[in-house]
Amino acid sequence: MEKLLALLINRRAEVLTLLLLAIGLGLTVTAETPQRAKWLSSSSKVSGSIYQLKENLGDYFNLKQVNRRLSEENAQLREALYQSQFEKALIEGKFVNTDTLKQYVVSPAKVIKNSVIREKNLITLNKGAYQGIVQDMGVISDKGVVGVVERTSDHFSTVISLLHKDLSINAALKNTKHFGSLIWEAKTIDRCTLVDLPKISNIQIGDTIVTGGMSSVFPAGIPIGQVSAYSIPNNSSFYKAEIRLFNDMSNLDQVYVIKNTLKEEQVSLENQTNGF
Amino acid sequence: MKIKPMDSSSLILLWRFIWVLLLQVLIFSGIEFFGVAQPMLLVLFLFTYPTDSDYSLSIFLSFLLGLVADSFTDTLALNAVAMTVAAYLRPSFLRLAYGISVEYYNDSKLQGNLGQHSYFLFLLLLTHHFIFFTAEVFDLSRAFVILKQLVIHLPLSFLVGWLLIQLFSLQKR
Repeated sequence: MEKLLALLINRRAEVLTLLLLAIGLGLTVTAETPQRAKWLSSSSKVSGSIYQLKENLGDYFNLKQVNRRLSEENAQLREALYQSQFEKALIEGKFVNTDTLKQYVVSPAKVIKNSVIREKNLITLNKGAYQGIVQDMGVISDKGVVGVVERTSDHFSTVISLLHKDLSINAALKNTKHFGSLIWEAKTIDRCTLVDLPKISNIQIGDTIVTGGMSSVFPAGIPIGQVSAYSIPNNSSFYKAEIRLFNDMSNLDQVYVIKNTLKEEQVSLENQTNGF
Repeated sequence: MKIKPMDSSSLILLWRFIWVLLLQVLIFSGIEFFGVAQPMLLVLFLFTYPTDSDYSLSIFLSFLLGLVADSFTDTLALNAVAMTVAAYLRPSFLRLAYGISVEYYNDSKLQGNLGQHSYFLFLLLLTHHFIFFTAEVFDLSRAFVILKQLVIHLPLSFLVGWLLIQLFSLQKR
């Protein structure tokens, strides 16, 4: 026993290194699971607050650019709103209060931390559980899809970026509505890949890709990107297409978190149906 | 009960710990050159760690520094693991770069020329980056990805680290 103790003391640096490596690797492995340590995330209270402080300082220098983007977006939204109200009024002969039937509620948030250089990139937002953000909500910007909420703390949330190799999003061709899965192959930050798109879809370079709406996360029709190249892998019945993203994922600021108010109903119905 | 005040060497260590952490988390983590490369310079803590200070403490503090940085940058515990290995190998790197044995070194500051400083920094960065990306990919069959990440990040980290060392050595002259 004494010899063992003496050995441990003599070799304390080696013992300490092995112990710390075991802890570090253990945390790395368990961090991939939903039960991962909350504090080991940028949505934790301390790191979240520091990033918020840094973001607040940076805001003063970006106000002009942000204002321009917001006004552009406002203009587009007003245009769409007026157009839809006008069309409805024409069809029904009256104005309709569209607030009474809302499947999707949109709340704005700001990106306070973003990464694009990893294989599994995450984004941190300045809104959390107190603002009603929960896991699996969709996140978009004025230009298109950004990612899906992964976890939340009281005031912050982390989002699995579109540039995360484990994320797969239901996406469709805007014109023909044929759908496939959008994934990121970790090659470049402005391109994703659309796989499992049926041969019949007659894809063309320049076609717009939007969310397919087959999942309960995103409403259908949110822009994602444009087809820049496509091919049919050997012996496959499906297209594989390279998609140039509308969003500059390295320059995100103002985003919107989308809540599907009918999600529980939809998921529960789908589960019941699958059970039969 | 009297609380023992911290001695100056502990204060200097604490100051460097915070300084390197903030530099990495608030400045370098926000820099992404051409959307692909980021300077990763936590090893500056080991570079400036006093040579006459406790070896085991340097390993523990490096692990802690890595872990705190990881909590900011959502990098699991990759920095913690990489920093622990770099801290463990640091005495060997000191011998390689400066030809000194830490056990018999009395001066807390490293005496050496620019080439020796650069070599020491390179060895620390290479170890940190190699372990970081290997643990991130966690699959040796994808050695090409690890190599690609090393080629992208290591030169940038080295360049920025080297410039910082130059800057501080100029200030001290």
